[in-house]
Amino acid sequence: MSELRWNPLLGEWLVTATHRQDRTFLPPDDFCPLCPTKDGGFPTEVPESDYDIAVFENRFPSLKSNPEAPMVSASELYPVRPAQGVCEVILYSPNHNSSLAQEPVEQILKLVQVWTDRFRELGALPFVKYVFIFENKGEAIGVTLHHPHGQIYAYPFIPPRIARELEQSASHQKTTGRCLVCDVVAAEVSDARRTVAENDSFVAVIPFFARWPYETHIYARRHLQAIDELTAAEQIQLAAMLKTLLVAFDKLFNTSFPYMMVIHQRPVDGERYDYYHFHIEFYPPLRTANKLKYLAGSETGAGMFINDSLPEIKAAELRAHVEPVVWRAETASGND
Amino acid sequence: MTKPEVSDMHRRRILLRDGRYLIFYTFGDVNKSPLTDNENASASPRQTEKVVEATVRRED
Repeated sequence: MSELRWNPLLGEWLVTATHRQDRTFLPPDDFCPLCPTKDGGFPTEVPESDYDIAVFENRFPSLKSNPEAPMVSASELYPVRPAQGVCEVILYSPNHNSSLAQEPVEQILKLVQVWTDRFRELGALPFVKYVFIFENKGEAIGVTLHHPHGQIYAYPFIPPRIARELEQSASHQKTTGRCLVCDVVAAEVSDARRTVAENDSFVAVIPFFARWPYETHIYARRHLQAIDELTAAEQIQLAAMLKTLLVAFDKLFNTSFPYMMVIHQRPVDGERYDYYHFHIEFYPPLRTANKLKYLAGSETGAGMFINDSLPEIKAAELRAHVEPVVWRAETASGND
Repeated sequence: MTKPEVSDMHRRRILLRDGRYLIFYTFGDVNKSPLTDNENASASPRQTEKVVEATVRRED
C-alpha cells in the first residue's frame, strides 16, 4: 500500500510504502530472486538467462502506474495523492557475483544505452515528470539484494533535490548568462587539484563543495540536459569514464566499494530546461577503509553536511588508482 | 587501436503472471541470440525494436 503525503513544513512529498517491509532481505546466494531461474530450481524474478541487461517492474514498488486510492483522506493542511509512477529494476548481468566495476566497459556501454531507452520510454508516460536513475550498492547503503542491479523511479513530480538544483541553475543563468555546471567544470578543470579523471567528453571530480569524503561527480563537457542527447561517441566515453572511476573506487581500499550513484538530468514534464546540465553523482559512505560517514544530527536534522576531509586530498587518493580503460577489442587485436 | 562501437540494441518484452513487464535487452547481431521457449515468442531471429508479449509459465 503506497500513497503520497505532503510535508507542509518542507513543502515536499514523501511516499509511504508499507508493503516494502515484506521485501526479500539479504537471501543466501543460492536463493537470489534476481538470478535467472535454474532448471528445477525455485522461480526467480527472471525466467531466462539469455540476455545482456534485463529490466522489470519492481515487485515491491513505492510507485505504481495504477495505484490504489490513499488510505487516508486529504485535508487542506495535509494533501494526499495516489502514489502514481513506475519503479523498475535493472539487472546489469545474469552473473550474481559481478558488479558494475567488474563488468567490461563494453557491458557498461550497453547499460548506458538501456538507461537512454528507459529515460525515453518512461519519460513519455503522461503521469511521469521526472525519471530518476540510480544504484544503491553495498550493505553499507542498505542494499537487500547483492545481485548487480540498479533502479529507476519515475516520479509524478520533480523531486526536491533536483528542484533545488534547477532553481540554482536558473538563478545562475539569469545572473551571469552562463550554465552553472559549465562554470563548475571550467573551475575544476582549471584548478585540477580535485580532478580524478578526464576524457574527451567527461570529467570526474570530487567537487569543491563535496559533502561526502569521496563524493565524485561525472560532468559532461558538452552542455546537454539529458542522457538521450549523448552522441554515440559520448556514450562510449561515458562508459569508459564510469569504468575508470568504479575501478579506482574498488582499488582505493581493495574492496567492493559501496556507493549511491544518481543520474541528474532534466525533468520530462514538457517544460524547457536549457539552463540545466546532465551529470552523474556518486555518494560513497566510506570515509576510511573501515569507517562510515553517517548522516547524523546536523546532516539529517539541519540539512547541514560536515565533511571531515578535504576534496583536494581525497581526489589525489582516488587519482592514484586511475588506470587506462582496456576494451576487449584492443585485447583481442593486440592493441592494433 | 581498434575503436569501440555502439552496437544495435534489441528489446524483447514479456509479461509475468502477476502482470508486471520484463524486458530483455540484447546487443549486436540478432542472429547470434537463440530464442527461448516462451509460448508466444516468434521464430528467430530475435525481434528488433518490436515488443513481444508473452505469458511466462511460472510455478509460484
